[in-house]
Amino acid sequence: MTDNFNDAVHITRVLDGDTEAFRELVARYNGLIYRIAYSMVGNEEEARDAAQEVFYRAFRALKSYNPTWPFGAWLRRITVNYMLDQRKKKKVQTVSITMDETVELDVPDSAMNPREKRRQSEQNRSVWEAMNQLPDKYRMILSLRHFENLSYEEISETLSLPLGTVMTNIHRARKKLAEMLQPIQSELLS
Amino acid sequence: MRTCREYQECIERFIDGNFLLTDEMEVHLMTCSQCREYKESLECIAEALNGMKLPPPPPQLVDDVMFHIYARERRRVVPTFIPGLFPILCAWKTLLRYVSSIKIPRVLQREGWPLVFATLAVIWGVLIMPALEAGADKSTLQRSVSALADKLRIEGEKFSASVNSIIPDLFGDRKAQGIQNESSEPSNGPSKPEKLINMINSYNFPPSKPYRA
Repeated sequence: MTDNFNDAVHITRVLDGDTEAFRELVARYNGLIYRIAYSMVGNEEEARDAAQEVFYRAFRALKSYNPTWPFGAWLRRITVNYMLDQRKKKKVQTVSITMDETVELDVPDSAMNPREKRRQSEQNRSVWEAMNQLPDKYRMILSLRHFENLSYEEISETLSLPLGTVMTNIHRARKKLAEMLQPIQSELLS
Repeated sequence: MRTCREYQECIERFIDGNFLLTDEMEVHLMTCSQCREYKESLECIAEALNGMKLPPPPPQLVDDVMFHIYARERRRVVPTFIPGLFPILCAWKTLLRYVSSIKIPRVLQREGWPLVFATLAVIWGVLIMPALEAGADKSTLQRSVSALADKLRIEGEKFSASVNSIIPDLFGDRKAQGIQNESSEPSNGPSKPEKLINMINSYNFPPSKPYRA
């Protein structure tokens, strides 16, 4: 509630002409936007560019923001729409996603020995690569579910889809992912 | 009796924590290898995905976003006024016709269009741009730019004052010391150019964040 109130204060200041107040909102939500963008494009540079564009769009559209919605959910919706649009455009150019080689995707766990950690990292990479081969709508829905930990209802609001469609899409996405990971499933289970 | 497809949907909801395994489902999982494998593979995938941590945003992202916003806003202001040039151009053409009908030197008639462009440039620079600047939203872009300009000016003045303070020390007493000092033994302390270099190195330049208010 306090966060929503603070957001409302900053939004009012921005609408009154104080652009610098938008910095507070950017500072609060840049992690959220960046993660969603990264999960779709798979590299830092494009994710940063996408985050910049999303914030600019949000800045321009701030007048139309409905204060009854949480600001984070509104931003998330803009991000998802923007990313899906961009992916649709890029599909024409057949650009494949390549993940930064330097980026570690696993949680650094101090209890794990280095060998286990490397094995975990390789598995995560395999899962990530399989996920990148999924159609955009499936990848987006899985990243919202697992990386952002959103409930089905929140995903339904974000993607403007009926709850039943969300559940079906999640089911299909996971089924596809399971099929892709069939060859390394024994490794995953071990 | 449910189908395997329905059981698999229940398994998904169970994986997501929205469903509890009922006795009926447990019995089905014991008897149906397909659903059991599906459950196991889903658990692995969910574990792997939940365990992944995407990289955090770069620390300069907030500044980059704000810079992007200011830059885009600045770019957006100018083109909206370009259509305003059209009536001015039309008015000038009419004016030229009128001017050409009253006997004016042939050179001026021949140089009509360059004259139009030159005059438009003058009008743009002298009349329109200042008017636009005055009408623009001063509270956003201009305030930030002027804050930046002030900051740069103050830092520049500070730096030049500190350089000025060392210049007499470097060169002012050189004449008074005469040529004899040239051949004299060097002192133990740092030489004067070194002193200047040290001073420049130790100077705290302002941080490179152009639009901080």
